[in-house]
Amino acid sequence: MSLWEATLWTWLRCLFMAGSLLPVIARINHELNGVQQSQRKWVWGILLLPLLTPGFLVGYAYGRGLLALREWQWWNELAYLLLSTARWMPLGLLIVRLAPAAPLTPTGLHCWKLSQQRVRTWQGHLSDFETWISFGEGKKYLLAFGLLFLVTFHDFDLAALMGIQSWNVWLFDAQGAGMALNESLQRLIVPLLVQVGTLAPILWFAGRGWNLTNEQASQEVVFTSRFFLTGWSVLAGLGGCLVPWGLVIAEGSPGFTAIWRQGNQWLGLLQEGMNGLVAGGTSGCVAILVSRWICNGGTRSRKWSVRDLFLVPGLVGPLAIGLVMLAVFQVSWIARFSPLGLSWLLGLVIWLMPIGVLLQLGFRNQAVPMALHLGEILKQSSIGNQRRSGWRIWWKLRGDEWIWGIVPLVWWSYFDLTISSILAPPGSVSAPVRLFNQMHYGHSAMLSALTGGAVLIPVACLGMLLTVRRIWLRGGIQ
Amino acid sequence: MPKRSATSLLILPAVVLVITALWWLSPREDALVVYCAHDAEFSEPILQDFERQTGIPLVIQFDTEATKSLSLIQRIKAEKNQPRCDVFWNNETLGIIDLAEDSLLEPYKGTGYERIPEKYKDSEGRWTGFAARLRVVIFNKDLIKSLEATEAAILKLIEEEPKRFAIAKPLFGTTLTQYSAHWKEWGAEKLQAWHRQQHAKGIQEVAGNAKSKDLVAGGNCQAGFTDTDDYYVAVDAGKPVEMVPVRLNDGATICIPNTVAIVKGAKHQEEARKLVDYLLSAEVETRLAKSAARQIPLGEVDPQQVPSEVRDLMDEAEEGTDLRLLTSARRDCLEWLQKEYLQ
Repeated sequence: MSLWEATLWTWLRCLFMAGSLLPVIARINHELNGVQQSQRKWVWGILLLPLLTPGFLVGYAYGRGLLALREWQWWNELAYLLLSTARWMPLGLLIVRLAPAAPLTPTGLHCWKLSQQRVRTWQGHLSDFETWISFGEGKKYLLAFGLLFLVTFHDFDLAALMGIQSWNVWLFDAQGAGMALNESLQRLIVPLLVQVGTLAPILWFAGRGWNLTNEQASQEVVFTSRFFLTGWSVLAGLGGCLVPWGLVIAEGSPGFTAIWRQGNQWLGLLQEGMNGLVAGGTSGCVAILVSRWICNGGTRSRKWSVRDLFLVPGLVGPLAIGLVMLAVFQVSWIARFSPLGLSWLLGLVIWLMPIGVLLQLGFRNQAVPMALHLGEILKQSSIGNQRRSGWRIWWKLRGDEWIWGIVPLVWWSYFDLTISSILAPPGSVSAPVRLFNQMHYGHSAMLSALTGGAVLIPVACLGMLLTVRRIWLRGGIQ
Repeated sequence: MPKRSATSLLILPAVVLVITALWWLSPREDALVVYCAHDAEFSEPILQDFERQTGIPLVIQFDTEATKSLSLIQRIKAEKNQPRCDVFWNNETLGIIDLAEDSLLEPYKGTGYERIPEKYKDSEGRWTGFAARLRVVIFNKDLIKSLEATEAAILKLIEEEPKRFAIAKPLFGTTLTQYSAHWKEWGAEKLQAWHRQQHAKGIQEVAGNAKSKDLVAGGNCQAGFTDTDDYYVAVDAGKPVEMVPVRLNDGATICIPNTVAIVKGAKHQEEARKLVDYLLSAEVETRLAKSAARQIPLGEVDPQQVPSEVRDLMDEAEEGTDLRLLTSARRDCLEWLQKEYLQ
């Protein structure tokens, strides 16, 4: 298979995957409105489980079983599709739920249709569809489609693990076979063009005309069946999270006691976990700052600005970013003066920026404008108490936006295997990269235990962060 | 006071954060940088012992399955103007010969060099082999009772049921070494025809030797090509497997040693030499023989210290083909494989 064919095949698969997820997201979004507010966070918790379960853990857990499928390529493809859809659906759902209100409400759109009073031809349906995409709820789904296409087009670890044909696996093999860095970079133009060609119209449509001054459409509880939501949550939660975790814990439980006795194993894991957290945390924070700066570049109606060009490099995927950064940092004067680790951080920031911007676009309408305005006025007050109150209001309204903007970025960069393995300085490898290497040689109780530990490190940090936030809010906001 | 956005207020803390992160991630200046392609599970304790014994701090960069996309060999080539690696511990031979031909390695003939047989080291001392593994055919005892250790018998087995025979992608690793040996022995045309024929018939091609072993151990395939270290993983896991060494027409085995070399322009030459001597010592070869990978010592060791199954393999290793003669075959074979897989 040539690079062109591999890219085309990946493109078709990603379009299919992103497209087929949209009705699923629409259905789950609808049924989610039938869930009581008090129960929603639990439902969200279950829905997000597959997204938060790292791909390498899923791949490790299913690895041996999936190997038997390789003789039947289509079954293998199907297994990959199922695991990927379970993993990425919550991301699309998040975008649809967090996106600002569309310029036209469903009622407004219906009135517009009635006002057209025309015979229902295919041109009329096309016009309705265009209006729905440009001004109606379709904008949210278009944004979700773009993001799903982006993440599935970049997916590498699960595809490589399952022997799935994709452009980045092709490039991976080519590099392993000794293709020169320069030639690899030239070959990258093919997938880059395909990706940009797909995403550019989506971003153009999705990026304009948001109703940023209005609040999100009401998400009141409405009676509806919850059959699909329940079914999806159970199956995706089991297949995408609980079964892999169960397999790892079952296999790793004898290993926990063994490594508990060998203190250096835990210390090594903690050291490598810290490497991952330092790189992930720093790049996540920088990426969110740059993303906000990019988002502030347009006007309130989100017109394009030159700052948006900063997103383009991030669209080429982690493998390409890693290779390009390596080439750039080999230039003698850069190599001489740049500190080791800078290319790694920069690579992660570039990769995270497009996702950061999409998250920012989603968060934009979440704050209550009146309260925010009040907070802004109070922040400028010359009276200390009022100024402090202003900052507290700001934190209550905007703090969560920062936290939930940074946390997913840190999570993804901590578990990144591609950029980190190419660019991490000698001796500073992160825990997931190290364990992924060992997973290649098979399963063992100790490896399973260490894998569990590597995932628990960022979970523990997140737990601490949320505890601090809760204490702060309880103490600060009366 | 001019109004400032929260984003601009956070620029200074962000800069501080980046500087702190760079400090955390930077390796020690005085540390000896080792690029290691051998499995971390086996190599790390040995390198840690060297640190303890000599007090020389090490920074180790392991090869990973993910960085096969940019293996350590290519990394050394890429860094040739600004070398970061001092010592390269490779897990095969042909790649390091490639580096030597590109004049990227420093000659060194220390105490360890002398105890290694001639055909497993470079005559100029740019690299030296140690602790080898054999290329083998692993087979599932539940599916095949026995297998004759001849090239003809193995080829017949593949011909009969290619869909039940596993092989790693020959673009890299020890499968590429095996292909290079066949390229030299059979000639380009015969190997190309054989390769295309088996692929057309559905031979089970997988990403690596470990997966080839897994397919056989799990009963999905009746046999497959792999290396002795992967074979012993299956044996230790209690799988019903057996193996015979791959033999070429002239009866030679394919014995692939680890290799060690000092990179040209290394900043810590003296410390690098100490590490090379240490790795080429009988002590390290014995340790690697005792490890789960059962690496075969090439130099003289105390036979009583070596596990019996490794002692059996030592005779086969002595019959290994001279890999130094495969350099041009490897180059031509790889060029063809790149066209076959990547065009």
